[in-house]
This record gives sequence, structure tokens and C-alpha cells, in this order.
Amino acid sequence: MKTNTRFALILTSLLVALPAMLIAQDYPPRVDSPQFTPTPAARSDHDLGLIMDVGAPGALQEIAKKLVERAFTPSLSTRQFVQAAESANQGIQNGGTALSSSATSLVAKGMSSILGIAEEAGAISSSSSGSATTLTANIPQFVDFVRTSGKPCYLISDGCSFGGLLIRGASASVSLNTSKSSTPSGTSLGPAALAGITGVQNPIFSSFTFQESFHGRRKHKVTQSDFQQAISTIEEGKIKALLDADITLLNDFHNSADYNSRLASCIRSLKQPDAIGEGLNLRLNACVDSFVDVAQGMSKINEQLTNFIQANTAYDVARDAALATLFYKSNFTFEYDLTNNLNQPMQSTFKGVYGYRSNSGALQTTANGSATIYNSLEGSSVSRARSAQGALQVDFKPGTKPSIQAAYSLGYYFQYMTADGLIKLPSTDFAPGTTIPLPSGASQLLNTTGPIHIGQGKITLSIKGTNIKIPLAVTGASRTDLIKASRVNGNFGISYDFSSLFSK
Amino acid sequence: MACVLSDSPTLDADYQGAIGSKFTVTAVCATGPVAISGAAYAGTTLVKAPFTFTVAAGVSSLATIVEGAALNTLIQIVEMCPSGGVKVLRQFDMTDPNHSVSAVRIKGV
Repeated sequence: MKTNTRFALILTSLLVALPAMLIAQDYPPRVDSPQFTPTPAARSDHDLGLIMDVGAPGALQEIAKKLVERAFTPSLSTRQFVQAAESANQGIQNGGTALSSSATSLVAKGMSSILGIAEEAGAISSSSSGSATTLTANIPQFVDFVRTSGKPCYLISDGCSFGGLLIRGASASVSLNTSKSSTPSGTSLGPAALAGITGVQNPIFSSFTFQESFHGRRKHKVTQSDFQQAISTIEEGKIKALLDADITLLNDFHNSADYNSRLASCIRSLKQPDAIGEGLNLRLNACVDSFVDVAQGMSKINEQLTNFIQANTAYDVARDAALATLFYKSNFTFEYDLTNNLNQPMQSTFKGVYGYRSNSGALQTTANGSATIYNSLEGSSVSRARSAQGALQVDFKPGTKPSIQAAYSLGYYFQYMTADGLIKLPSTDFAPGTTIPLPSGASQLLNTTGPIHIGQGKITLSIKGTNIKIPLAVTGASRTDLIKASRVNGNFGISYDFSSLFSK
Repeated sequence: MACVLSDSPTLDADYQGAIGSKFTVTAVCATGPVAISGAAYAGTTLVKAPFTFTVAAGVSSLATIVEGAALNTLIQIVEMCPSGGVKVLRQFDMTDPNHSVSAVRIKGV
């Protein structure tokens, strides 16, 4: 394999796979850490063993990071890391974008964790729904990874800079339709135009979304009782998976005579008189490098580290969601959507989303309002302002936890179209069923202005201990964007948290 | 009665205790709320307090996931000794919430 190709693979793996466990600040401790005070030589073998053992906080993450850095040697599969990150993300997707073909929710919500939608755990992840592939960039984790200076702004951080807050709340995604490579033309106009009217999305580029979330005022006085309560809501499966993955990995190290020998050697090294300042730093790094050497010789290191990374990522997301409900009861999200629907001009939507959650977390309310404009009118004389929308959703999850837990949702969506709908007609097309050529440019659909009302009721059943969720929904619409006819749909689906499967 | 766990004199474990004796661990922080979200030892995994385990034969890792409400605070994982005191099993500065899982090795003797 060429060097530049290898470099690209490694870089990809770094950017995609490790963000959830980046910047291992805790391990090895800094040379000025109280743990080395007054000098390492003054500390007991027991103390130094605790500090340097792979069971120390951040140790396994640091070893994983160094293994990836060593990926020029083929002992660690970059592909596995990529799969690990993607699997962790796929396990916690929450359904398609509101009102898309795969939607299970009427109301678009912020990706911020307070609403339980902070589910894009990797720096960059991909997910597929039908023929659409969505690439999502989790900007905070990406920035954390490439950061060379400055402090990360975590959910629980105090005193974040404005820039840090902006980065923490930012997320972007682009959706690509992989089923077709070109726009239909010629005699296919009829079905293509119909597909456009009914909402089928354009080949290749479907949409781009950018979200910026702002939490409401932070609750600073968090009591031990409240904190304990919030932590107890972290999904049990995520906790067990992380503990299992951690112990499995540690056992392989601790059962290795080579590792125990190198740990003893490390401790002896740290007790040397010159193990201070830069000398200590060099010795600490040498210790870690020797543990990485051990890891490279372990037969299942790829699989076990992959499990650990997955479990860590999934746990961190669940933990942040639990803490967000404690620290922040509300948040506001600004969203920009650029949509490329088949045979329609590109549209821009500016959306504001507000979320509020009750103290118990049982009741959650989400409201949003948005305005859509045509990016181009294709020669038409209709108004550039296309429509305005508003939506409200209330979710209620009873506190009791029987074997089947039900969550109830009611949603209402209102849209007012201020301009008639536009469809684009390629110059090479003919009227459906004829050889009469149609003029190119946009054509105006008559009489599509006016209100649209959509209501949805949904019950989401969660089967305890299975990581399976079954959403059942009934949706009624007074009309669609471009067709004035009412319709009632029933939807149901099954979602499964694959991250739990992979991390067991 | 003193603590169940004591420092291990050998490097193959961090602590040791009499096989069959029970010990309870918790997390403490002088400057803010802290909680253990889960702990596992010798085949037993607990996600709710009290985190009480029985010392098993051989050497087993006691893994804990500790969460604190603030960054840059000293967190200690301790054994709640029957005498009423505590024994610090591990302590660290919580500088990164993504690194909340750690472990110590306990040998049954």
C-alpha cells in the first residue's frame, strides 16, 4: 500500500473513530501532578503501581490512541475502528428527520442532548435510511480531536468561552441519495414530476443541515441527591457494557507476564533519582510505550479495544443526556436546512427550536417555528417566500417501569404556504404521454397557497432488557405541500440499539 | 474492625482482602456531587448503590464508573470501612468526563 494511502486511512480513522475518547489528559499524570509529589522516588511501589497500571483513568484510551498512531504497522485495523464508531452511532439513532420519508416524529428537534437527540456520538458518522445516506459532523468532538491548545468545553464545564459554547452546540449533516446518479429526463418526465410533487428527493445531493444549540441557564447548585438521581437514569445496558469491555481488556493485560514485568520495570524506572522534570516525562512516556508494545502482542487487542471504544462512546452519550436533564431544563436551537427536492427549486429553511423538560424528565415539550424561501425562482413570478411553519410536540413517559414501557407523544404541525408551489421542467422533457415539448424553467402549480394542518399521535413501546423500541403512529394531514387532498397514514417500526449488541 | 481491604505487598494486585469478606465502595469529592454509576468485580455487576462485593479467590479487577458534577476536582474511590472510616482505593483529578472508568486489582487471601 502506498504511504499516502496509508496516511489517508490513518487520518480517517483518527478523525472518525476516536473522538469520544480523545485527549487522554489523565494518563500518564503530568510531571507536576500531586501524585508525583515530592518526587516519584518518595512514593511507594504500591502508589506508583496504581498510577501507572492500565486500570488508571484514561490509560486504555491513551494506549488505544498510541496504537492508532502506530497504525503504519498493520497490527491494528483502522477499518475496525471506523466500524466501531459507526456502530456506536447507529445504535442510538432516533429515526429520520421530521417529515422525511422515514420520519417517526412530526416535530424537528435540536440535536442537543437535553432532548435526548444528542445522538451523533462520533466526530463524523454515517447512517442510511432507504437510499439516503446521511453524513453527520459532530463539530465539538471533531474540534476536541484537532485541538492543540485550549480547554475543551464539556457539558459540565464552567466558564466556557463563547467560542467554546458555539462549538459545543454545533452540528452539521449532509444527506446524499445514493440510488440514482442523474436526474430523470426525456419521456420519464411524467413519473419524475409526480415523484417530485409527492416529495421524492433529488439524486445525489438531498439536503444540508446546520444546527447550533444553546442551553438555557445552567443550574449551578446541583445537590448530591439530584446528581445521584440523574446518574441513576443512565441506561443499565450502557453501564454494564462499558464495565464488561473494561474488565475484559484489563484481564488480558493483567494476565500477561510480559505486562506485569514491564509494569515492575516502569516502577523501578520512576524511582530513579533523575526521574524529575523532563527526565520524569521521558520515563513516563517510555512506560506507556512499553505497555503499547504489550498491547500489540495481544491476539484480541483489536476486537477488545473496538468493544471498549464502542461501549465508551455509547455510555458517554447516555451520561451526557442524563446530566443535561439535570443541568439544563431548556435549550434553544437554530437550524438551517438547504433542501434539494426533485424537480423543485432549492429551498432554504430557517428554523428555531425550543425544548423544555420537566424536573422528573417525564414530560418533554418541543416547539419550533420556521420560514422557507425559494433559493431561485427559475423565472417564475411567485413570491420568494414560500411558506411558514410552526409545530408543537408533547412527550410523556410515565415514571413506572413495567416490562413494557410506553411513551406517549402528541404533535401538531401547521404550515401556511404564501406562494404557489414550483416545479422545474428540464428542456428535453415532454408532456406525460405525448410528444409535446415542455418549456424549460420553473412552472407554477396553481392554487397551492393556504394552510396545511398535520396532527400525529404516537406510542413508543420499549421492551425492558431488549434494547428494542417499537413506535406506532397515526398521522392525519389536511393536504400536502403541493397536492390539495387530505390523507391519514399509519406508521410503525422497530428500532434496535446495536451498540449494546456489539459491546457485549 | 479495620477496613476489609489493605494494600497488597506484591505488584500482582493493588489491594487484598480475606476471601469471602464483604466490602463496600463509594466515591467522595470534597467540592461537589459525585456518584458511581456502576461497578463490577469478580463476575458481579452493580448499577445501584450500595456497591457491596465479596472478596473472591485469586486476583480480580474492581472496575468503577465515577461521575462528578464538576471538572478539575479531586475524586476518590474509597472503601467504606466497617469501623466507620474510609480507605482510599484510587484518587484522580476529574479533568475529562470521558475518562470516568477506572479499576483496581483485588486479591483474595
